[in-house]
Amino acid sequence: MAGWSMVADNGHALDCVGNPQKKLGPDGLLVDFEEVSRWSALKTLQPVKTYQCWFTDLVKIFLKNDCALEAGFWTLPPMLGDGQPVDLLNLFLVVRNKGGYDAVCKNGTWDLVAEESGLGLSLASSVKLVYIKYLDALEKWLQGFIDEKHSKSNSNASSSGLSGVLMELGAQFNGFLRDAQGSKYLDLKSELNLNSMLESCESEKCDVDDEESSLLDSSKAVVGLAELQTICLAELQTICNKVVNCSEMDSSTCGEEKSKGENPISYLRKSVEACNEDDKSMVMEMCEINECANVMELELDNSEELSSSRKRKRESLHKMLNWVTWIARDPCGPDVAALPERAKWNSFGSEELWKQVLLFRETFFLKRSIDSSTEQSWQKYQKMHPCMYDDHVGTSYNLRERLKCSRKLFLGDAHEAQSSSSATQRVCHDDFLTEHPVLELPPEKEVPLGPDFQVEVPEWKGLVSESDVKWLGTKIWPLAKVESKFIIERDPIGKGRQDSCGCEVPKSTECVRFHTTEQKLKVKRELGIAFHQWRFDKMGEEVKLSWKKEEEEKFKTIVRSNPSSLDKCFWDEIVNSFTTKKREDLVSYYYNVFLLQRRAQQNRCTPSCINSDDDDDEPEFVLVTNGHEAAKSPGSLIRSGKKVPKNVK
Amino acid sequence: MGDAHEGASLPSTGTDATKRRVTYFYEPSIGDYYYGQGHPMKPHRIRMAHNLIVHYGLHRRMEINRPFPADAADIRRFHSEDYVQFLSSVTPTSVLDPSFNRNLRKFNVGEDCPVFDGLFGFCQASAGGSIGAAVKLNLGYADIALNWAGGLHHAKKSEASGFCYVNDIVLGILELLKVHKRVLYVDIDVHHGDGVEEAFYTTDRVMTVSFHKYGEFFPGSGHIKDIGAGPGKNYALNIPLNDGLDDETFRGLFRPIIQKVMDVYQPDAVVLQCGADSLSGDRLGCFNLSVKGHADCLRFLRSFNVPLMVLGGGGYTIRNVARCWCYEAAVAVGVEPDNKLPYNEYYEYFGPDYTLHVDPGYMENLNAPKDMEKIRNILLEQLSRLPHAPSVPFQQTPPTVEVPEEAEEDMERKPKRRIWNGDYDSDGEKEERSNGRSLISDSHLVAKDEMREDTD
Repeated sequence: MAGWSMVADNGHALDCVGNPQKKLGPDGLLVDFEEVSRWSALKTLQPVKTYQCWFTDLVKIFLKNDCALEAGFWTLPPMLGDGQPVDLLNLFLVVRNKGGYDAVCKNGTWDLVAEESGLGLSLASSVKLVYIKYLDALEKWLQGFIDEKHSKSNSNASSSGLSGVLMELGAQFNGFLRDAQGSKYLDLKSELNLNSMLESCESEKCDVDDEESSLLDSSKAVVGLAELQTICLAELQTICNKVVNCSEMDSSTCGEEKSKGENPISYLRKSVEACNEDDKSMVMEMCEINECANVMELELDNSEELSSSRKRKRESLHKMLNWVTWIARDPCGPDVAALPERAKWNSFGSEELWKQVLLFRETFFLKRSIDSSTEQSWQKYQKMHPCMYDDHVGTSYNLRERLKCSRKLFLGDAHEAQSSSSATQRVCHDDFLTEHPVLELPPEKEVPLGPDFQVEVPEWKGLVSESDVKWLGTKIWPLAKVESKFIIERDPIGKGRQDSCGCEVPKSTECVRFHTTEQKLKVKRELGIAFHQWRFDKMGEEVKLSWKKEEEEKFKTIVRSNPSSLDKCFWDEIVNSFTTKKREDLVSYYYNVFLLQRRAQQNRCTPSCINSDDDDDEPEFVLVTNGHEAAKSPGSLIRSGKKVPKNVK
Repeated sequence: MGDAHEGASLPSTGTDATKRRVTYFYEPSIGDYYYGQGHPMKPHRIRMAHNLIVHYGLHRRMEINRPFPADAADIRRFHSEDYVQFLSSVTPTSVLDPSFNRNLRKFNVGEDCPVFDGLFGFCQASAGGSIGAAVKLNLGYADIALNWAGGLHHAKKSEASGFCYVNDIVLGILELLKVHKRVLYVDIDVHHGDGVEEAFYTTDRVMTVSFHKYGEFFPGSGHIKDIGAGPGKNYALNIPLNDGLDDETFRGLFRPIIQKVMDVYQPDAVVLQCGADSLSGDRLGCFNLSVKGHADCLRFLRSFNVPLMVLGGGGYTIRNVARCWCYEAAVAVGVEPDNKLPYNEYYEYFGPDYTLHVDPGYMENLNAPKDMEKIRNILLEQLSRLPHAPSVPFQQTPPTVEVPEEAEEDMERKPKRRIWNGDYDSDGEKEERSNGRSLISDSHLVAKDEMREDTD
């Protein structure tokens, strides 16, 4: 997995230019970044995934190192013939519980293994094959490893070579097995696959019958795993703290920044575009740190004793990293604002994101070159903890936020201002959210109980009351009496339009108008009085026939002279200006004529931008939100809609 | 009504041979109500949907009625007296009177739920349509009853909420409960169906099932652990979802859960709220469903042949709302309409494609298969805790509850190919595959074949 590539001299393994997808790690393993992101997509079940991921790493390294096999050709996790991925760790533990490979072979219980691994009874031979290919040698090796653990692991753990890494992992894994007998993992697993495991695993059955105890067990398991993680991450946290401190360095260092360009943004742009090795690695390192910070966050969330100041640092770091990733994605994007001259940099506070980047870069490189011991332990942790390799999910948030913004949805500047003011808070909160799938979100609201809220539902005592037939309303269709005796020409049910026509300019507004009128006449003949009852005569452009030319002009002028960009509201003025017309007439004209004509125009002039099918292009929201812009209203559906991009990850 | 040509209609063979008798309530003045400039709720969308329905000729397979307006007394069957009094008397001018301020706050009227001209008339039409639909089903005059002006699921007993003032659904269900022992309510609006859930939270005569976006999203309720209370415990189901929900993921949840609900709860009538803000590209929603994916819910529920009330709801990109509700009307009557829209009065609204179906845009689906599996399992487990057919001895279960027709399901696949744009290779295999899919890359597939050979 990707993380192994970072076990490299000077931590520059990610510098390979030209092939961003595949990186060659120091041990010759092909690193698939896509795979990493796939893992991260599944990170919702964090502890399980982490351990699966971690174990996969172990297997991969092991296969490469000890078996001298082309591990790159093997897929991890392996897939069965039907496309099911095999959870190696689970398989390993199941076999282990049955006494190991030899015992399973001897007892002929591969079908049981297949079933308990959740893969299905019929796949016994495939499962055996997977085990032989991937896990058998590992099992043997770990067996031998336990025996000589005390003499060997202590001496090797500190060595920097690959075998040392392996030893460390082995030791850790054995510890995991010894402490938990792997049962916690299995418990957790069974919680997740309640149904599939139900049929296969006797012991789980009891758990499910007694829901309470099952939940208790699994929560214990989670706690156990969390403890393990905490230990693994302890040292990492120290490093992360150092990194965070770096970004908080005094702004005086900024003056000494040895930048190649004058403008930091264009500098960043240039460097990313030119694939300048140094700078690209910087961006990569940013991502590493990002991940690191993520891990730290996870860790911090577990801990009770977080100081608020550290939290703030973390927030600012996150914000900065999000910004860098955002710039890197589209350095020339129109949303990337120009920055001031270098000479003026000192006059900006460190709340500016670009400045934070410069500060960070400065201090980080300084730190790295001086403090090599930090770097070493850093790397040590990179190989230790696979959850570091998860993509930082917050980055996609930024991208989408931007996409949403560029679509210019209905909310005007007011809201943007509001959102930027709470940006700090939000970034933090969002990152927190991405760590949790929907299921793990806490309940936000309780359902109120009592006669003020519930409706009284009578007990069922058979039919008691009759329904009043007045509710059937007025039947309009089918017609009470067919008016015309002759057969009406009509299209079959569900028939769409024919695209070919003899119009002079097909698809022009005139063409559409012609066919629409033609269609309307057809419908009119068929509907009879229903045509008027349904007010088809008041649908479409023909509504304007009851309007005078001057009135139409006046309507248009009022709308135009009250652009919502100026926080103006045309509707009130229209209502006041057309005192002779009722609300129904005005609304009817607006939807049937005004908007329809504008849409016709848009379809022909700017077909790629039709967000405005009704009024999205006039951020008319001003009226509704008028005077309330600043007040955040969590109970508002309108606002909630705008919240969407916020949650988008 | 009989028409020789049925287009690419749903199969009318098999156990589904009897076509459904469909009644549709439409208030012709509905399109001219106006929530206010810039308000995303536009009753005009109902007129647009009706217009498409007629131009496709779908009305020939339906009975179409103009609803009888519900009066204050009818609305008080659910809502509190002072709230109804307020709704029936408030006007855009009277609302300016400072003495009204207290009431505005009390009843949550103002920003989301403005006082607009004709407000009460709008509520009367909406509620009248849903009660009418219920009566139509109660009397056995129809198998399916539609009311696109209904579905206003957020309204509370004494409070407006989320563009909803009068909860026509609760009123409709109350009417259904006169004749039907158990009513199932299914809500596929992107927002949680909180008003309906709350109203029936403590009864087992109504089961509410809501699929919705959860997490920092209006109205904030609908946690998976909200399962009902008192005698209603386990009779509320909530399916919390994340952004980017696509057809396939949705179907993978909807069908198994609803199937189990139908098996276990055996409702005598079903109410489906078809909020169209769960469609891709909605102005306020964040799901990524196609019209066909949305309508699949109706298609599935229809197949059980239980009296079915179909209501509107949210939906704020109005061209798509009209598309969706027109298509769902077609599903109700068993017709597969052409994709090219017939010329109609609102033709330009549907440009530049002028088609019935639009491809959902690309959007990341944040609903991971593993999560969906977990949700499915939790809910199926919750359902397994239910006694069969509550509120009534098992043997009295009416014969109308039948298993869905296999024949229709099978034959559905052909049109479905088109419906789902080839997204599904095959319905059967989907389930097993969905877990592995995200992990399978080309190289994996090669290895997979290799492995199969090895195994042989």
